[in-house]
Amino acid sequence: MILFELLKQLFTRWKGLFSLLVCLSVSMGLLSMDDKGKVTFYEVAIVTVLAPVQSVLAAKSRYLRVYGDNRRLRIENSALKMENDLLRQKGVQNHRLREMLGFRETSKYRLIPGEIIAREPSRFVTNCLINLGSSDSIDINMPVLTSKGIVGKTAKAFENYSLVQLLLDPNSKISVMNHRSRIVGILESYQSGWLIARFPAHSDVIRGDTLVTSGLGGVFPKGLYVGLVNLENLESNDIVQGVGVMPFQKFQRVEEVFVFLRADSWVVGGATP
Amino acid sequence: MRALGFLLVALLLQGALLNLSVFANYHPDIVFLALVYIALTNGSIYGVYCGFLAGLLQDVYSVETLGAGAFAKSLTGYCLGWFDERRFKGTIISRSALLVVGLLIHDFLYSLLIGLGFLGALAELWRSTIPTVFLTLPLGMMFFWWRRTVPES
Repeated sequence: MILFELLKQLFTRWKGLFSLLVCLSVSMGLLSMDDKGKVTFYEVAIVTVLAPVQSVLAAKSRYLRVYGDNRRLRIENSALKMENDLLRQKGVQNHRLREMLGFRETSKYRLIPGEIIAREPSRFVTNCLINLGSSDSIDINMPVLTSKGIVGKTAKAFENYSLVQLLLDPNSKISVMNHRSRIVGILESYQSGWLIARFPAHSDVIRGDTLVTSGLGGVFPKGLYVGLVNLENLESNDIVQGVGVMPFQKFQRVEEVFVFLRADSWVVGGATP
Repeated sequence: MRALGFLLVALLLQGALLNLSVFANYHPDIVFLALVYIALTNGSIYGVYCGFLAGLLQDVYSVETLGAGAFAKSLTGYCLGWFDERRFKGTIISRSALLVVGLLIHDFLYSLLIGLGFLGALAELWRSTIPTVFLTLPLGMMFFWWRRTVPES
């Protein structure tokens, strides 16, 4: 009883310090949690609380834009229909020619459209949430892209939502290829807000070159647009040449995305990831 | 409850700002501004709990750094609460100075916790925090001028 009273007095007098110690302990606990614990935490926090709230807020702003979007999309749809007809004819011709030359048929890609419903509310935006989940056949390590280029890959798949790891995430590393010189390099985040591609030293990479995915690594198929080289000799040395990359798709402006359902034929060599 | 509402509004505003590129990839840190105001007007206990909540909500979307933001903001909020304006008279200049210093300390601590190392954290201060300070400070000074009278607790 005396001990209880003593503790009560201590707490009353030093409650600021106690509060700080509690919060710091919980923070350190979260920081040192293993992956399984973090997944459980995300499921509770994101799926049950944050995602429904932010999807409601996102829906309101979407309704306000719908008229302008509708008009723009009608015009774009008409142009795409004409282009589609032309491409279909060329596709038939291509198929015929490939058969004549004896080429193997490549797999058909399947795209699922989705929307970004929540973004990381901090200055260092590395992830976002989309309204597609395992109920839509979404799994982890599926490419996420727009008509302009890739934005990232799925990192966690819940029932109705998926966490997308953007290219800006410090842990994101993808294999890219210079479209002109066909040299392969690695694209990664640079100082939390930019992208850098690292190639072997003295590679033929110049400002203005287009980078596409190389197909290596088992996540992104070959040929997806990534970005434009806008800065040469960034952190270059005798072994590695770094170049600054401006992505084709600005990450702050992404609203609708597509998720590629993965096919085994993406992996060069046929190995399953 | 008012402090909590204040913080949630700041979080919503920060999320809404992400669609607007104010200057290249930089945005003002409205959440930290709210935390400074809450800590200065309500003391260390409010500062530490609001800092913890704000940091945790920002950490939740980050795959690898869960807990780092909560740690940095809790500690910063607690320290800012030492300058509780119920005991010391604050001015717009003093509040703005605390905002700048708090932002620098918070970002340095956060960079250390996410594994950037001492030099990396310093580089990050130069590359990211300084521009953010330049964007947050004018907003903060306007806000502090608007709320120049400390509300009664």
